[in-house]
Amino acid sequence: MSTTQSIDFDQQREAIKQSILRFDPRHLVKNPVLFVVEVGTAVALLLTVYPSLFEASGSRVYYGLITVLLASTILFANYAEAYAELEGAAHADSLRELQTETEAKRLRDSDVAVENVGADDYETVDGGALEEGDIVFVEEGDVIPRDGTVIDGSASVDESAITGESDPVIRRSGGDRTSVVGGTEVLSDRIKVEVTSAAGESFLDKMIDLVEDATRQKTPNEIAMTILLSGMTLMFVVAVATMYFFGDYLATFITGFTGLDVAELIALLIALMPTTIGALLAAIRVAGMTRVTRRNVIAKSGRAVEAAGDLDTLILDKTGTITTGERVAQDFHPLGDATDEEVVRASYQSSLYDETTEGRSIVELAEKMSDESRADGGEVGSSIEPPRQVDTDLGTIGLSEENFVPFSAETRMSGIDLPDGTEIRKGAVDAVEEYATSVPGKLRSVSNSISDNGGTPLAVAVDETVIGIIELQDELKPGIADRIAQIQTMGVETIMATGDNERTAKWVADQVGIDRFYAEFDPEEKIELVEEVQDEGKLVGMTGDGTNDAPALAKADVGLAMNAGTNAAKEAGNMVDLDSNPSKIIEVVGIGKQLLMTRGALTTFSIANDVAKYFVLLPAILAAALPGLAAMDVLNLSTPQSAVVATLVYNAVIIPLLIPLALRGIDYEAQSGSELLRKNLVVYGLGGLIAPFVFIKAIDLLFVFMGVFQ
Amino acid sequence: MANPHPLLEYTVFFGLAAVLIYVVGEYLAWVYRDEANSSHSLPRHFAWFERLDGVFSRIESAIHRITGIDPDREMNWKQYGLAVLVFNAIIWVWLYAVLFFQHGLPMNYVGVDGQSWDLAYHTASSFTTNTNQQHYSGETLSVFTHTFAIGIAMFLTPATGLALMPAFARAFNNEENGLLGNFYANVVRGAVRFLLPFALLIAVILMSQGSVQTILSGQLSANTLTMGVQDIRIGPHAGIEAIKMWGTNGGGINGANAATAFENPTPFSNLVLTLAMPVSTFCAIYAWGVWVGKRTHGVVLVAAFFLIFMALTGAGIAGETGANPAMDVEANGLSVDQEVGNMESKETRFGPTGSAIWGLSTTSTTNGGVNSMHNSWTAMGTLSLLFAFAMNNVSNGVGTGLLNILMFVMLTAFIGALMIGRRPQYLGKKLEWQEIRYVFLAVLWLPLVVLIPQAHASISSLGTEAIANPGFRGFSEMLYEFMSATANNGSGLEGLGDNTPYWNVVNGTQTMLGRYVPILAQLAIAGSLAQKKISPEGEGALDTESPAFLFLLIGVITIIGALTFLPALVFGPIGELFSGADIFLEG
Repeated sequence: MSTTQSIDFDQQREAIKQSILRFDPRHLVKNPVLFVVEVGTAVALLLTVYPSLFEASGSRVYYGLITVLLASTILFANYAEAYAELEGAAHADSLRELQTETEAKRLRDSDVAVENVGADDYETVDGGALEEGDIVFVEEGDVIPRDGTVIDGSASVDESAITGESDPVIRRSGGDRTSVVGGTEVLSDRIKVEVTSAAGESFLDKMIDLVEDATRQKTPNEIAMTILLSGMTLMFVVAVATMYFFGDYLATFITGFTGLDVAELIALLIALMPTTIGALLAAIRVAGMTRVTRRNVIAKSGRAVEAAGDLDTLILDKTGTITTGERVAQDFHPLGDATDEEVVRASYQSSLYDETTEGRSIVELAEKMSDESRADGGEVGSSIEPPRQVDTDLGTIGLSEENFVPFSAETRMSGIDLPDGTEIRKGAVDAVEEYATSVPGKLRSVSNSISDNGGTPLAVAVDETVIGIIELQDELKPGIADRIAQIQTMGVETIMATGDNERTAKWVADQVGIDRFYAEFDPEEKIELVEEVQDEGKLVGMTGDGTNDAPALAKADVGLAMNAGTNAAKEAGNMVDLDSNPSKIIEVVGIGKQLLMTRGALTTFSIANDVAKYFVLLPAILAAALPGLAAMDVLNLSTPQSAVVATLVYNAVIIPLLIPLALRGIDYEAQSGSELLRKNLVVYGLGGLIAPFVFIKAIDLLFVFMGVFQ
Repeated sequence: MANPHPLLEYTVFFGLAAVLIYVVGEYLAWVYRDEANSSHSLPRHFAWFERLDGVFSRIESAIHRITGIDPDREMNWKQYGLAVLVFNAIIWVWLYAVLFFQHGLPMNYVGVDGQSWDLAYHTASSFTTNTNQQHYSGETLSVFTHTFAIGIAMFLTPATGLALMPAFARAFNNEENGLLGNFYANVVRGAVRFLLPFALLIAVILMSQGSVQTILSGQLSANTLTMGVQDIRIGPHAGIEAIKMWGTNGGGINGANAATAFENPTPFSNLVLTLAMPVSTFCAIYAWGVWVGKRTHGVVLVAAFFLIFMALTGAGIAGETGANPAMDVEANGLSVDQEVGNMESKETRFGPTGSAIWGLSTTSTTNGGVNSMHNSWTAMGTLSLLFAFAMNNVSNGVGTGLLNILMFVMLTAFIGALMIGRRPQYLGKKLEWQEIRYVFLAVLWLPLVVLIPQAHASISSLGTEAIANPGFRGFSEMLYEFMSATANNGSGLEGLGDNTPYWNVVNGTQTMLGRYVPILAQLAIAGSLAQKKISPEGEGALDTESPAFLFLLIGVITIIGALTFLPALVFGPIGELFSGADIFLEG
């Protein structure tokens, strides 16, 4: 599902069919730029049929060619729009396919406890027959028939069909992990689910509808852009239409000149009008929203995507967004007479068969510090950087899993017995203290200072003598520091909110370069934080999954809700992340920016093109009246007719040439505003000035080579 | 001859202009500091401005007392717009009445007639809108009309423009507050602190150079060198001339305007009057930066428009220091020394360069006063004048100029913000479709109101019959007149027999459409923006103080502003330029 649905041949054909159907003026009138092109095409067609209309003097072939080129401009524009819309629709369809109807086990008596459900307690019904409020029983191997809330039991669920994420997730009654999605599979255990949606109205259905609506509706900025382009169109209509009368004025004193050619004036008008950006606006919008969907984020409106590009501040949760929620070894501290080497070795040995995250991170850190680059298991904490090198032999010889002493609730320690009988134990400081007979005096002070720094100390003892402390710290998500640095380069401020104490919060904030953090933060205060930042005039983005996040999600300018979260959160947010990965909001910001930038860059390109078109077309159109004007034609084109046709070819062909760019979005990497402006101004501004000169000259040379219009 | 060093004149002029724009800009920023809601601080070396406050305040409160203005009664944009319209309607009615009935009014020393209904309509509209387009010769007005109608309008109409600026600054300095200030109080403040003192200063300089100043007599009989007796009209020349130049007015007492010795006696007076044009308008652009708390942004804006102004002036000088092809010695057998350039209808005390700098100053602002006959300019020179119009007079008029420029700036901010992936905002205020439609209306308005009448005039005898030089030049004559009226400039290429009901009604209406439609659109923008929150401008925001912004701005003005008129210009000066002198002569 997370892979892109590429457009297949059928859709390609459908797009072409659509681009012809969309010539319907009732459709085109919604895009004023294209509507004017269509009117112009109609007049050119009229001239092809009756060349003598308006006392025109050109040949039928010439007018016919102008008509065809103008029509192609519309065709390409329609195609760009249809193609993008179909791509969006294809994506929505692929989401819809997830919703397979299955059989459901509807409980006869909803009060029976989940452990006691037997075959007699439910009836097997068709999934489509379920109604809102029905209670169904789902056990290992079953597919959850419809969206619902877990009301009893807990189960691990494979949601890869929706999220593409292969790791199963836990869904249980009570708390923030109660919601289950229809179409996902229960891997183990059993749950009772209350169906929360009617057939065809599941959460995903609603989301898909929203996405489809959103792709059809113009975003607020696009409305402003449409006004701008319509205004420019009106301006050019006036500037060119009046030329016809000015031509009549010329005819009064230039002998042999009877007036300007209407078809050529239409060619000038359409060349000057911002047809390129006018044709691609819809494609840019749909593509932007599709890009969001491809990241497995469902945006409920285009407005939200645009707003994401404009965020000033992100409020990030610590756990889940910046850290994984696990703790990993950060350092080893020897105590008493023990040496660094002894502590590292003992910690390593005691954890070799410890499969907990902490255990694996201790092994990894010890290996890194001892410079034995055997780090094969990079799953955990690849971000762990050894604070120093300790030259030690880790001593794995003779260790076996049999001698591993797993963690028990009674001793609150784990460890290993070496072949020579040495007992190594590690555990919480007070547990080890209780077990040990010899406790160095500095144990308390060192462990307290670790706690004060937001870390967790684990004591290590060898034969009942405490020899050192392992310092555990929050595990950072891989790459999170880079992403935060990137988003700061874009000018977005990052705020971290966490329920942890000040020290822990500060440590994490310092590690990843967070701008501001709030420690000992109550989730219910989030709404106030959002409002506070908004009062500074800033646009705020945040993520959330719990019911008590819902008000803040609704208040934030961009609220990205986690799919794994509660329905209240999902309804409050204006985006939902199917992967439930809170740090994805950073990517969404990038996509929003890219959407706006593509629109801006292609507008600049389109407008800059006009300079060349003036210089090519004005001398061509006025060639009969003012041969001296050829001095303006810096390209020295072969004939006026060739100039007009070459310009129209460029004008039409540039649209399909730019479709891939409009769909893909312009290249974007995190840069400051000034750098971006400078770069895009050179590429799209200067490029827009030069490109048409080059293309038109090339087409003209081609005509010379082919011997047409000569 | 009078024109030894074009480059030196050019450099001195723009150097002086730049310094004066800075000084007067800081002064203007100080004048409207509170009205603009700005957190303005005076640079230490200008702290002495504060000492002027006492005397100005006393004059202002006296005026407030007499007229019943309550400066604390703040207006929203609709009330502000209504006040502009009502105030200007009163000026219009007064002007119309005086012009129509001047034969019966006092101080009519030489017995001039009242104007016809259509000429009075044109003149009243033209002077109410700060246009000062004249379809009559200055000599046909009485001293009363000059002093009490024209003279008063010359103060009140630029004051109207000035009063718009602090209101527009409020759009960006207000946070969620739609009140833009009191229009009438702003008019008084602008007139008392900005227009009167500078006009007085310029008038004194003019008198020191030999300008006349009287309201007691209307005519002077002089014995000329050729032993004839010439009757020369006199009046309050120095005073009218001073505010005419400082208030982007432009309508002179003499038909020959500032080419006459009474209005503009010496090369020095010419320098002072020429400087008055860009300084009185560009200073507002500089002040804008101060009001919105970004002096560098103001400098960037001044620089962008100043560069355009300098480029156009360069083209104008190139045109006028070149030879006039119509007087080409070989082609026509004339014996005219054109070594210094095209001297036809230019004053020897100004020369081609002094005339060209004035010409581009008067069309790069909406001044409209002239010191040479623009119709005698070369095709190249005329093209530079019309290009200045095409950019809506570059720095435009006192007050309104700033607002017009900001339309292009906002358009640039709109496109620029998108290019860096931000939703458009300018100075912390989001630009949405509600504002963009008005921005574009204001930008679109000039070509719309100019080109449609031009199309009609080109094919109608009502238009073409007025032309003095058929052909390309005649087209330019008409285009110039329509542009001048709509952009509220007021100068003429001349040669057009324009005192006909057709031209009077069309041009008169254009002056009003060209003034009030953009003003109302701009006030609507201000009203809408003032209601919005101020978003902070962080790292990721569009940097409006960067060179990149400057280039983008110049691109937007050139392509969206000027090039719209390129097709029309082809039928006028460009056609003339590329067709050679033959057609010019045949015409």
